Amino acid sequence: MIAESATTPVLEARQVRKTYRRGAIATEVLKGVDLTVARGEFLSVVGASGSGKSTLLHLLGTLDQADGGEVRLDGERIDNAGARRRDRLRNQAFGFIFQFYHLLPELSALENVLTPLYIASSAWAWPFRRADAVRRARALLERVGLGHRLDHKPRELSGGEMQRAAIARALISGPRVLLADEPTGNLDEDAGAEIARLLRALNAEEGLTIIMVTHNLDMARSTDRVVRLTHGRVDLSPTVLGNRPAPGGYHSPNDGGDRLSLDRRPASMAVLGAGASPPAHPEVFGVGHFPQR
Amino acid sequence: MYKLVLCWRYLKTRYLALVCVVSVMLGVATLIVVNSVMGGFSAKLRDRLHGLLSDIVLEAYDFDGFADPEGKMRRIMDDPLLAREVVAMSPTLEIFAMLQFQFRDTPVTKPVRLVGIDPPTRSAVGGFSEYLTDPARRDKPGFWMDEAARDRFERQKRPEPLVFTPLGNPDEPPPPEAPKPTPKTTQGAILGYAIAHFRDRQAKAEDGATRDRRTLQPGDEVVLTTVSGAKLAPVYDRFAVVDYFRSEMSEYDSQFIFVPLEHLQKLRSMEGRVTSIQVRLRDYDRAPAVVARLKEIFVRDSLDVQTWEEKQGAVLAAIRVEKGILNILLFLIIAVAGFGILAIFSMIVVEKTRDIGILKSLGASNWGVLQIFIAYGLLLGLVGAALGTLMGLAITVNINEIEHFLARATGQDIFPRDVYYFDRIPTEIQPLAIGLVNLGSVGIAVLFSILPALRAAMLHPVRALRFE
Repeated sequence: MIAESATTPVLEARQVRKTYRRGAIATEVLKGVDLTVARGEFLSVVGASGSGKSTLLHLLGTLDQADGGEVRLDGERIDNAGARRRDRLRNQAFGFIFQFYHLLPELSALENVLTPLYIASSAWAWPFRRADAVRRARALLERVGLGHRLDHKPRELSGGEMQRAAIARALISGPRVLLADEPTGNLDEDAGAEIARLLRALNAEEGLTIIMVTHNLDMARSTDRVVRLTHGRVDLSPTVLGNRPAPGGYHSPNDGGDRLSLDRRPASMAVLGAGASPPAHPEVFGVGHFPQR
Repeated sequence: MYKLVLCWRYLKTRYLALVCVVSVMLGVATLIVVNSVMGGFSAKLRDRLHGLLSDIVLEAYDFDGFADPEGKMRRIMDDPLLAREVVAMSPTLEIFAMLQFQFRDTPVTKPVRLVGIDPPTRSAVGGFSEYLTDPARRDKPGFWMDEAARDRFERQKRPEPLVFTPLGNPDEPPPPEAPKPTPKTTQGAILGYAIAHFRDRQAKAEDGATRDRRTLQPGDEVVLTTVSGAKLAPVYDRFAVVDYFRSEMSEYDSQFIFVPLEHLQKLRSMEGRVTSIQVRLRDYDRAPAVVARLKEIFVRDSLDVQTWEEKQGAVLAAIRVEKGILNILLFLIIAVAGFGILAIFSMIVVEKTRDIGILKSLGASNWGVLQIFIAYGLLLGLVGAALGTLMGLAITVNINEIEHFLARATGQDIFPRDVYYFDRIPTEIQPLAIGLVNLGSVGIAVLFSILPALRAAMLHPVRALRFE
């Protein structure tokens, strides 16, 4: 159904605009943003407060609706989709994690991870899907290092553990893109570093496309590409990140140099020092693997 | 599936919502208990109103009554519809009268309703022999005197005329139709219980119930004065008390006196005439058809045909109105519970704003979020109604024990047994009423959860996620 090709960016924003209204005051937060994200890319979005980074993330993931421009997923427009389609996209195509982990307090870690599957399934169908779903959830929680915390409620988990559970939840439906809004903003240095490591591992080992909004320039530096937003627009001026150019467009897979290429596995293994193993948990992470697409 | 999981989980963890459950429970329990007790009282009252009256009464319009009751009864049985539906009939002669007797050498005068009956047929019609206080008379009712009564009567018989004079001006010549005042067979009379007894509130028996004092014993003599048929001339005669009639309806027990029909007819110069025919039906549901048929048959006779309900129309209507108003007022209790739900749900929605944002970011639809909260209201309503029904039924079934306990604990007499004649609080469990109460309370719970649910459904995900 989706025209997947090696050159179609998984996510694309064209001249996206967003204005917020508070009473009589209207603030134009995004003033025409262009962005393309390649499959398997780990992209950071940085910028000052109020520059519109979180807003851009929400618009990309159909959590909010743009006032102008287009958003395309695998080439297909999603910004003008109906409510039902957008709900389904958020349930299956996108995974969100936020600065505040937003786990549902009444549910255990396992149940929190299962929540997107609860949403996707009717009560009648659930008994048939339950076993498989629980297996996947357990595997994911193991993957993020929470195998021993399955039945704990959020109030019994540390900040880092909660964020890891949130990551597992965001991935249970096998999304095409993980959208992370300041994932380490509320964590201390060690916990934050762990999360950063986890995200890099997921991107490297499973090929997960990640778009991360962050204030942390060190974290941004470790990603494939950094996009800076200034006053609601992509900043095309040279960045202060050092020898890393601030690209504004799409880079072909053959672009070499000091950039990580898109065929990344061996190179990323070298950079991160992780074991050169094939993608772990394909039954969990196989993008496009789940039938309920 | 997530709606079910969350709904159930909210029910188990939100203790504040238990307040909603409790208020629905109390409202439902109250309504059920009140409906059952009122139903019981009302059913007993209906029984008693019906008690003395037969299913259908054919009545004369005036004191002179109508002739040939046997012929009329034959005409009734000749009709095929009526022959099927009519089980028993009894002619009676009813008139107002004055009762006079001596109590501790003081003359006592009371206005009464004098009814001449034929005991066998009158019992067949029902509402008579079962109320007689003499057990021997319940199977074979009659005006005979037993040994003890006869002894007493003989001892009291006076050779001279009675000390007091019957009604009428003593200067006037004696009424032309007065019967001879000396020895002949004195007829028996069955007195309403309250005519011959009074409640002595001061005297208490061992079990704490008040005692009844007797003013007239079986065998005592009484004089009944009334008017004759056509000419309305005063007539009187002496009777001996043989038994009492106790229906626990003061209207009857304090006014009615039964005497033999033939004797009363002769006394009133109304031989062969009666004022009413009482009719008992096989199935009271068929009464309208029977009444219509009777009216057709007796259209040229000066007779009124009525069911007992039509005769007692006013009282029954009053009971119905009372019940209706009481139900409406009590339903306000549940409406109050509804406002509680509205308030608490609004609080819960505010509390869960970020959670709702997260659910939407995970792909939950607005409609789905709406369903969660409405289902939550429905669940609270169902649990509250179920518990309330159990509680209401438990109280109803044990109401007498509860009343005893409360009376002992507070020292107050909650259900004074001398006000009502029954010694147990009557209850009648009405499944229809219980069903309606449950339906109504669940409906209110759902109704009052709609507004907060709508608010939750309309929350914008980004704003919800940022909610502090």
